[in-house]
Amino acid sequence: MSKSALVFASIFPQSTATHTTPTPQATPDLGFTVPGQPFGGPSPPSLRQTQSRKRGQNQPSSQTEGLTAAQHAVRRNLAWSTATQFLSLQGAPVPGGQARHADARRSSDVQEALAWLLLEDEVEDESQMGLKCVGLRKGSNGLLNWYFEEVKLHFLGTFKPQLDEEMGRIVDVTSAWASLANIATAFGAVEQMYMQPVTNHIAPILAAGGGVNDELELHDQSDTPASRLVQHFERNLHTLFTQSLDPKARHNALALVFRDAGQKLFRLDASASVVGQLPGPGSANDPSAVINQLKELLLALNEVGLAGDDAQRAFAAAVDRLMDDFVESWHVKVDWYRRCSVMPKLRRWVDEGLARYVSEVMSCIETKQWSDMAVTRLGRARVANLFDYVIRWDTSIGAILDLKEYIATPGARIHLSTNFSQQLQRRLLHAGATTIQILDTYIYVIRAFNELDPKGKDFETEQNISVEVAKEMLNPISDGSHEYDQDLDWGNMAWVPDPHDAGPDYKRSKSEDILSSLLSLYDREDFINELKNILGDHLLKSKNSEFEKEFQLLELFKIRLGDDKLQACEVMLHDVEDSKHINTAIHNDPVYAATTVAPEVSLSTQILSSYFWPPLREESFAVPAPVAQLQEAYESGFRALKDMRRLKWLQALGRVGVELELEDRKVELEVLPWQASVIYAFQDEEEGTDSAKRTVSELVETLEMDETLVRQAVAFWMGKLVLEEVAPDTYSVLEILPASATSTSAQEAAAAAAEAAGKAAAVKSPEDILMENMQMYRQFILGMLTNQGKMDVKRMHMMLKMVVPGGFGFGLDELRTLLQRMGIEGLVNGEGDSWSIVK
Amino acid sequence: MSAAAAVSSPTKAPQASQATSSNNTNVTKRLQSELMTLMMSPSPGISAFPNENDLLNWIATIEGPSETPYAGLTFKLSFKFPSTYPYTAPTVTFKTPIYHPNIDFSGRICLDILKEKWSAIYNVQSVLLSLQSLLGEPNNASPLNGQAAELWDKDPTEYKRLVLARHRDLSDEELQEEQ
Repeated sequence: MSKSALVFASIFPQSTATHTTPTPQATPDLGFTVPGQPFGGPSPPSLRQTQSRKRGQNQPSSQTEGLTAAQHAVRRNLAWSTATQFLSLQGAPVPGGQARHADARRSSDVQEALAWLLLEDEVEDESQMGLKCVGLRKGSNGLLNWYFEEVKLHFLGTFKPQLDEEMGRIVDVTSAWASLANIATAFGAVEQMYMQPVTNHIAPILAAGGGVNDELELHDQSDTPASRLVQHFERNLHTLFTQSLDPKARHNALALVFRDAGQKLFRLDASASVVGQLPGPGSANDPSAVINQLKELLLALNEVGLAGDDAQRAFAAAVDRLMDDFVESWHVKVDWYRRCSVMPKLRRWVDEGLARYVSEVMSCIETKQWSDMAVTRLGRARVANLFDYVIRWDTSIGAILDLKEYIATPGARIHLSTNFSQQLQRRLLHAGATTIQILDTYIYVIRAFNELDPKGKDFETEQNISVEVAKEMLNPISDGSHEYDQDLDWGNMAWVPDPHDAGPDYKRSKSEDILSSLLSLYDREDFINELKNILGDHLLKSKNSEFEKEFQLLELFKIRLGDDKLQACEVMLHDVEDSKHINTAIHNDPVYAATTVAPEVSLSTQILSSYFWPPLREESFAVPAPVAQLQEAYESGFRALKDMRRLKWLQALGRVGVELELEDRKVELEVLPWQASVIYAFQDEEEGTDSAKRTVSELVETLEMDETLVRQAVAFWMGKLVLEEVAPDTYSVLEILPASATSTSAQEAAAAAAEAAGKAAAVKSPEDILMENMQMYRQFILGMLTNQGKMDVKRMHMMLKMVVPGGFGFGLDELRTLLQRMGIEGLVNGEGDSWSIVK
Repeated sequence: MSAAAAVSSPTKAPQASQATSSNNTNVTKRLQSELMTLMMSPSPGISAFPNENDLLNWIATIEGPSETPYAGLTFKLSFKFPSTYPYTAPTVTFKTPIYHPNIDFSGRICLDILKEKWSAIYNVQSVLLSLQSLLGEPNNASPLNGQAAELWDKDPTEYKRLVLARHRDLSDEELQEEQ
């Protein structure tokens, strides 16, 4: 016996150990083990006798009734001997040889012995009662068992080595095809040889003698005891075949073949992807040829029982691989051009391609399972690159649509969200990403996920994750919030969310969801403050006197943020509206009209309830006399109108329309109040003198204006070619434009800078506040570091927020700048992010 | 500086803790304004600041007055404000080891204005100024540290040596532990 046969024997020790060779005819022996009962010991004859009697009452065939136990045993032994000798395979030919059991050789005594053993030998015991139920008699079973043992021995001794050799030849796809075909043929021949005695001799006897009278009579021809017996034997034989082959090798060979066939069928190999050309019908890759070849092979294998469960498993593995192949193949690349999902393609492939392939291979297979698997694979592949798709949102909608089908199960959702948040962590939420980037991505994420899941509920967790992390990233960057507000809210005045007159069930529009998500990113208070600042600035600068859009927006914000929170904004809007009416009223006042000294000067005022407005610029300076007069008159008019309330003028805010009449030209401009004041100061001179000269210090004095403002204004007018610098810090009006006069680039730059400065927000910016409160912050920082010792910036920031009156509205970065400045002055010492006082 | 510093024996005054929320806000307000004053009009040589997340616990710093044995040394103190502050005195202890007739080795201070003579008109700043002057003008009549009281007059050199021997600046870690 070969080694593998020994191994096989070690697994089935009893069967080989107890197998008997045919008993010699000459030695019938009553006292020995009952042949045909390899697994059981001899039973006491008396017991068998009683049992058979009991059974006999139900048995139509009562031939055995008359026999004594001894006679019975002798007869059995004789019959057994004859039958086994007849069926013995010893000396049977190797494969390819001639079948030994010719019909002619079935002598009458053999026939008799077989018939008796199969039909009459009613030896049963309790443990084998079950066999009755499947229509097999004890005798026939015993004989068949013996025969199967015989077959097994013969097979293992003769064919096994050849099979092993054949299996060993399988190294690649081609050899797998060939070897499997060979094995199928070989098994076919062997099976035929082994089955011959059963089909030719045993089955006919059983069919003739047993089935009809069987109490469990079955009408179906295929279910007669005889056919069942044959089937049983065949099954055993197939098991033997299957077991004789190395399961792993067999599995691999089959899987190879299946996968190869699939690849050829769907043209998944690389060569096809290059051109995608259809192979000619005759070639090896022709789909129909492939499928036929495979079917042939499978049918052959099925004949010998090799296409059973194991083959299904191999097939499953192959399909598994095929799916991967397909997902990775050129067929389902992200569709960047048509911007659509390739899911339909994938599904079509599964339904029409894979399913057909599968059903060709196995008649009963559920495609849904396969398609689910394929969808999962593609989904996972898409999830792996989800971040890339998200940041390329819109063009990547195909990928998102793919995912939409994937996330039908909770597991898939979890996979997607965990995976995606990992990607976010890795790729977005790092120190290098800017606020704008993060916000952009955030918007994309919301859009993409909206597309994925319009209800949006199930990704709340996911969004919360991003919100949480984004919050952390954003909070210190107050600049970021500034930019964002302007971009989203005021940069585009045409932007209006969807109507809100719909009921609560009305599906919110996507843009709104994004807005609310974004709103949730910011601290509500911070957001409202920022909104107030922007609105204030906007209102003061706005040239429109109608504020419909602003009111509209305010209403929308109210819905979102709550009425009470936006009270200040409302007051601000009403202020500007009321100002219009007050202006009209006062202008119509005869007292006011009378004080209009210079008819060309007119004044219109914005009356602001300073309590509600954000901190405003308060630089004060002397306005031109006519304006001052008007202001006085206006104030008294207002006092009369508004029950003695007083006005406090904010000279720096506002705009002035200026018309300059120079000797050779007219200049008309809309400028800022201090610019107007400065240019007005040049006019004050007596008529007839040379063009007035003013020095910066003079201007500072007469106008009671900040020097920086004066310089800014002068630079502005120089840029406009109205003033010229006649001596250092001394300027005069450029009455006549020199012929060659074009402003130099330096002047232009200065003017541009001045203009930019002029455009500076009417509302104090956080930077202004930082500079203003600098001294206080510095004291707090010094006090903190003196007493608490070394601290890192984060902790300092937290402490400042806690102890500084009115809060510390700046981020870590501003604090760092402040500390660095203090470090330069030698007050504090920084080590990385930790600071301590210099002792 | 002439802050009257009558000395009494140190008893740990149990702090009444009838902290109601309104009380707490009052304390917080008062302490916040005290801090603001301290920060914006600082007195030389003294400083104080609340601990992280706890406005009722402060760390203060006193620089030893010049021309005293403590010149050039820095001392850390802890202020614990009861919820009844300013009607009850804060508990003030030296954290930096100090050798002084009216301060024991665990940092407890014997100073009348922190005990029975406390009044709501005192504040962190005045307490710190009193303590600073106590360093230069100990009350040797009722000392907590008898040896120090004796040496103060008898052997200023030995006194100074002992002051320096006892003094040790707290590390940042130790300061954090205080919180």
